[in-house]
Amino acid sequence: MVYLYRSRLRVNLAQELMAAVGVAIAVALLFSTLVASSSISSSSEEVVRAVIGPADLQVRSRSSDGFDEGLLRTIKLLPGVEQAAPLLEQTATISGPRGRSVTVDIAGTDPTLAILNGLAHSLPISALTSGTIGLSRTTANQLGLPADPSQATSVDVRLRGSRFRLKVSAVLGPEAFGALSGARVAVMPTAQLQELAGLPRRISRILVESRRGSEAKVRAALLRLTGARLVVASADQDEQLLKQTLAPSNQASALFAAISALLGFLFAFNAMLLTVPERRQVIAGLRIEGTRRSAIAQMVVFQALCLGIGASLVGVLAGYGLSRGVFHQSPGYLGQAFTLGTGTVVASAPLALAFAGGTLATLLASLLPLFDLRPGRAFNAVYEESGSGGNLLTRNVQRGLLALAVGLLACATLLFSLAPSTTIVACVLLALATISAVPVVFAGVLAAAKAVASRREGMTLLPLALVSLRSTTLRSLALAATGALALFGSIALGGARNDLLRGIAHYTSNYVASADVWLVNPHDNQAVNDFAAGNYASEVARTPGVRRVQSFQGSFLDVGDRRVWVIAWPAGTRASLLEDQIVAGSLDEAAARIRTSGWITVSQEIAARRHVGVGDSLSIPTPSGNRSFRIAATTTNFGWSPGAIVLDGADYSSLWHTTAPSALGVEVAPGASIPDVRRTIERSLGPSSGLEALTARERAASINGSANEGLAQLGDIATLLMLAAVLAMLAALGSSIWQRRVSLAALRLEGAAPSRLRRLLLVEVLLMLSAGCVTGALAGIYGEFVIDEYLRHVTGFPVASGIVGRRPLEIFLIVVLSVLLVAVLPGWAASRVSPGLALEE
Amino acid sequence: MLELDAVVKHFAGSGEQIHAIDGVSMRVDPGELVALTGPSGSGKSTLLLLIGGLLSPDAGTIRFGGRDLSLLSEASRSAYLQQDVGFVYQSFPLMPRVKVVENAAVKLLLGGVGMREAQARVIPWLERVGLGERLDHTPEQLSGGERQRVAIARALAGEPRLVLADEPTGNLDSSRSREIVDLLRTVAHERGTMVVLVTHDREAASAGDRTCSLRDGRLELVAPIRDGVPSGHAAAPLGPVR
Repeated sequence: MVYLYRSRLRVNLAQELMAAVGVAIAVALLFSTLVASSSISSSSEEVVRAVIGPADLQVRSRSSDGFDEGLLRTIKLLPGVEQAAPLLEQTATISGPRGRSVTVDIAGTDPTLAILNGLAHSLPISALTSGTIGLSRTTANQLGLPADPSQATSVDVRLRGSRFRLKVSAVLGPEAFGALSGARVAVMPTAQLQELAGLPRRISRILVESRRGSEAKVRAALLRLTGARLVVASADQDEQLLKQTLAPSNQASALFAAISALLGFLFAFNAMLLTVPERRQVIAGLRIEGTRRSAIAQMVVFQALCLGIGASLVGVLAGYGLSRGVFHQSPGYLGQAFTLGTGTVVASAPLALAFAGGTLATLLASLLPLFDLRPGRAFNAVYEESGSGGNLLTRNVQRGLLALAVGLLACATLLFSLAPSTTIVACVLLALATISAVPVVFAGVLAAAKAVASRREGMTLLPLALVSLRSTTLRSLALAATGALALFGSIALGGARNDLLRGIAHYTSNYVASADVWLVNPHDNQAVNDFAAGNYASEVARTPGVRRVQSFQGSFLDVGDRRVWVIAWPAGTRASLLEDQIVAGSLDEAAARIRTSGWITVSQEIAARRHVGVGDSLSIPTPSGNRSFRIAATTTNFGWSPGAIVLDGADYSSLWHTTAPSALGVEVAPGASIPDVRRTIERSLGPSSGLEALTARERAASINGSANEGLAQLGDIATLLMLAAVLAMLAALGSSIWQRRVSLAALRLEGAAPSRLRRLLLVEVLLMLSAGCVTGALAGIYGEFVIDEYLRHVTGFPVASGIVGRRPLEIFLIVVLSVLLVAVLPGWAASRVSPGLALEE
Repeated sequence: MLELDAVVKHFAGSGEQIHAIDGVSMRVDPGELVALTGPSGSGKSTLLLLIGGLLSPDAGTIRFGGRDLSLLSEASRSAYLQQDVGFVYQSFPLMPRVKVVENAAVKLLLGGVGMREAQARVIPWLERVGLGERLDHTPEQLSGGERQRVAIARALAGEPRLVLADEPTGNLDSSRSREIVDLLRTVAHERGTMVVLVTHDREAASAGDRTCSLRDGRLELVAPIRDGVPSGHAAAPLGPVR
């Protein structure tokens, strides 16, 4: 078998390579999608574990103000507690000497955490020197700082509204900082961070290691000790919270992976089809020589396995490169809520799935020549056939495929209607329905073209193209199906992503419209990090052109398994953020009620999970303990997947024990120029201010940019999917045209000029692509609607109404025109084929 | 009229020049079927390619209807092949899964004839080659001989002035072979078509008005057929013999 395969490779290396490239592209797509989507949570899990070390429990503050560090002593004395260590975490923005800035989590800690073996046990003492800051390697890299701390200069740290200049004590690599070196984090002594943040003797977290078998007892003791004012949870609770937050995007990635896998199979099938005629000849030859059917089957399987394994290996390596390059990112919008890792983590499951998937697809696609082994099949007949076995699509097969497509479409619609959470399964069924429908649409396109040709006798190229397409049915269908699936994926997912971005942009414009100029911590798009207001509010109010200054408050709050966005709205400001975001209830009523104590709006998904509705009571764990609110309305999630709660500013101040704003909203006096006022405010704040002054438009752009970045991966994958499909179709088209050079030579022998042959090939490609792309575009539009509904009703995202825009048409044209444009080259080469070739063969 | 005058065609071999055609002169008049015989490698197919304008001679001229083929532009050469020449050869690639009548119409379609008219024009030819009952069959449903007859119908349907047939009876049994050669001769005589028939088959060759023999690129014999037998080394009435 090895000898036969080597001989085959010697003769047909180009075809075999073409097949391998097709399989490798598919595996690369699948693998990179899986790795990219799992890397955020996997690398962040590593970060969480590096911080907590052996701790199994934690006590966490519900507000950014933290709690008194005296609690640490009490906890250490609790029975069953092995050890406990304090941690103060704050979000800050660091700017380097080259002007680059990074938003990081600063951990204030002391040697006790190192003793606990958390936050990297080998943290150098110098990193905790007073007056300095230690940076993770990733942070230093992003700031453009050298790895050697002795050469490092000072950095600007903007924290809770103030700006400080600190010397970098150390750049912490994996040897000292473990997985944290790959996260955007910094460390400094707790006392220093307390002082800089204006939080004397406050900490945000205590990590607790309980003695073996004492976890439940310690947990109960901690709950008794803290009441409901603080969170008592597993030390690794952030892992679960992050997973829940990432669920919608992970599901979108899973859908991409499924479509990539289907595309992969089609790529492999396309590629393998090119080798079918030659392999059929070999098989017939072996049978004539008396080789048993089982031996031939073994040979086919062996060759497919060799090809599949080799190509999958290349695909996995390419996919790894893609996941580290194009897809590698840690979405900034999550950075305010979680400490994220930035590493690329390759788990065994994606590796096994991509490898096995690629090999299996190659194996399945290779089985076509085995049709010739059917009992009763005269093997000498194979020599008389020039096409691929099983190439004929009979009317019955077409009817069967149509029935299958309709059935799959009905199943998908039913599934999506009855259980919207199963949208991914419904989308996979839609993708399968798309493939099944391609032969019928293809037949329809050919019939329509035939009708046109019969009416217009002068169109002689069209009937020629039609007879030519009918002679290569299976290959044409495989190519059309590739185009269909690529269009389906790009339009459905890309379209849903755009609708989501438009929805978020719409919400954002309403939200920022509450003020003309905003003062926030840098990059704090959700305004969840408060700052010591100091004299800012009064200073700004005195600035010429300022009519009024309002304090906005907000933070993240862990409610059950969700890190919910809490938005406190000042009483005197119109609740414009609720416009168009109400799911149940009345906007006017909700806007009026949340200005009175005890009322909230809550995201529909949170309400549904707690089985409550408008007018019902909902208990929320606040820093003052559990408090019951009445629901004024249910809303979208305002673009934050775990959900959001909007309440009155006075309620927030009272329950969170703080008047510190997380944003100041400035209303500009009539006639004053907003940009001028913004500049004046910035100047009046002075260099010690850590705040950023943004016009409403600038803030909206910043928020939308962040949302765009969070969804960029989906956009990248959609583009890559389309690109890969175009390349795969092109490769398959190129080689199928090359394979047809003898019949093209025969046409030249009959007087067909090269230019006429080129036009003929283009008409064929156009008909083939039209069939696939029209099917894919229609299915994609339906898929976009399905995903939009899922995002709107299951995850609660604000999705703009799914009006079918020009995008499907644009993608359709991009794919068709790119393939046509690039297919000109092999078409040109083929049209120049020597007519004498027909006589030589 | 087709005229070849001292045509030479060489190919570069491994270290030496191969004289594929070495000073061949001949003439084919309208309505004449010339059989070209000779052993494998004697240059028969090369001569057909030269006549078809697919190769250019290294020396000498080939004229068709007074035009020097080597001076034709690419477009004119395509027009020559399309309108004036009908090629028939053994391994003619029919389109799989496409009906016989459509396969036969391809050349006319290439020439800009609409499908309906093309089909109307090829059907009589398909009937003449005995495929009138199999118009809707596909090549997969035909024998090798039947496929060859489709190819002949396709070449003749354009009513070319010159038919170049390279072993057209290679796939046929003797009776069908005779029918095809008779058809080619009838076409030549009835329509004034020039036919150059390359064949190994002595019986097929005997159907020609004249037979020429090629050996090592040289035309050794040009003889009119007398009762199916070449009349020997007769003086060449249609041109010099080398």
